[in-house]
Amino acid sequence: MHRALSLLIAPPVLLALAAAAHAQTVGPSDSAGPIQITATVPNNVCTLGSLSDGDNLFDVGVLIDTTTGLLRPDLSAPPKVLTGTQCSSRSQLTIAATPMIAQAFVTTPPTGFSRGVDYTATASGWTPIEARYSTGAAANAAASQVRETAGSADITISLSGFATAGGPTLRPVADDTYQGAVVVTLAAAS
Amino acid sequence: MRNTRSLAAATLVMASAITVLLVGQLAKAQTDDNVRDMVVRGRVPKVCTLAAPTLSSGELVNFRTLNGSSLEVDALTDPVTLSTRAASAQVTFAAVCNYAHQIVLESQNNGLWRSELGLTPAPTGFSDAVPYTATLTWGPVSNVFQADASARRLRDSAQAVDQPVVGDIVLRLDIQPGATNLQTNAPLVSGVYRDTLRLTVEPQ
Repeated sequence: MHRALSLLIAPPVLLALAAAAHAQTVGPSDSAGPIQITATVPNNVCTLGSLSDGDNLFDVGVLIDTTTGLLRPDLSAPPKVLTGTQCSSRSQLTIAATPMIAQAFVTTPPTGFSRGVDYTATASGWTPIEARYSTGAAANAAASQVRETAGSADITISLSGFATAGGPTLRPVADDTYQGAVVVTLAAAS
Repeated sequence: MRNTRSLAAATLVMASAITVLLVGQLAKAQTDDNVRDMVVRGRVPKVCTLAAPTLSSGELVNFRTLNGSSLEVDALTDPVTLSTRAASAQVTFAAVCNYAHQIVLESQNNGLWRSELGLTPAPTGFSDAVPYTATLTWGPVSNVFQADASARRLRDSAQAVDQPVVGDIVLRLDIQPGATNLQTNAPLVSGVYRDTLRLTVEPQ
C-alpha cells in the first residue's frame, strides 16, 4: 500500500517541472513531447495452475475407528492437481502445512487423548525431488525444491502418513471439525 | 497555449495514474498466482466403548468366578447365624469415552432380592433381601452406590464426567456380614437372591 501512494504523488511533481520549462518558449504554436512509452516483459514470472476439482478442501472424513477410538490407519484424501502451472525461469516450489487441530475442543486434552492429527503433504510433478512437509517433524528440509528449467507441468498435492499428535496410543478427542492447512508457493529463483 | 499545456498535463497525469494502477494489478495477480491455500478437514465422532467385564485378581471374597457377565455369591448365608455372609468382588471394564459424558449405574432390584418374592411371603423374623454397596471409579469420578434393599424397585445413579476418559471402570461390590432388609443378622429365607446391575456410559 505505501509504495503505490508514493508513485501516485511523484508524477505531478515531474509534470510541474516540465510545464515550467515549457513556459519559457515563445511562438504561435506549442507542443509537448515526445513522450516515451516503454514496456518490459519480465523473464522470471511463475504462475501456479488451477485446482483440478475446483475447491481447495481435502476432506479426510471420519478420523477414528469407532470401535476403539484410535486413529484409523487407512486415512487418505484424494490428491489435488494444480493444472497448467508454468514458470519462465528457474523456480523454487515450497510446501508448508499445519496439523489438523480440533476446532471446538480448545483446552489441553486429558491423559490418553490428543487434539491434533499430523500428516505429510507432498507436491510432486514439478521438481526432480518432490517437496515434502510433515507437520509432526521438527524440521522440514525437503519442503523447498528447485527446478532449474523454465516450463509448464501439473503439480500434484497429496496427503499421507496421518498420525495422532503425541503418539499412536493417544485417542483424538471428539470434535466435529479437525482442521489444518496446506500452502503451496511457487517462486521464480534467480 | 495554456489550454493545450493543461490538456497535456492532464493526459500525462492520467497516463501516470493508469500506469501505476496497471503495475499494482500486475503485482497483485502475481501474488495470487504463486500461492495456493488448501484446507485439510476431518471429524472425530463421539464414541463410548465398554468392554466385557473381567475380575480383578485377589479381590474375590466369597464370590465365584465371573461367568460371562454373571457373578455368583458362593455362600450367601452364614451356616451358624443363617444371616448374610460377607462377600466382595471387584470387576473392571476397559472403557473409552472421547467426549464429556455421564456414567450411569442402575440396579434393577435395589438389592439382592429373593426371586420368589410375592409368591411366598417371608415369615416373621426372616428377611428376604440383602443390601450391598457398589463403588464405582472412573477417571476423575468416584461414586458409592447404595443398593439398600429398602424397597424392591429400580434405582440408578448418574454422574457427569466432564472430560474424555480412557482406562478401566472399576466396580467394587461389597456385601456386609449380617446385612439384611429387616435387621442386622436377621436370618434369610431360603431361595435364589439376585439383582441386575447395568453400567452405561452415554451423552450427558
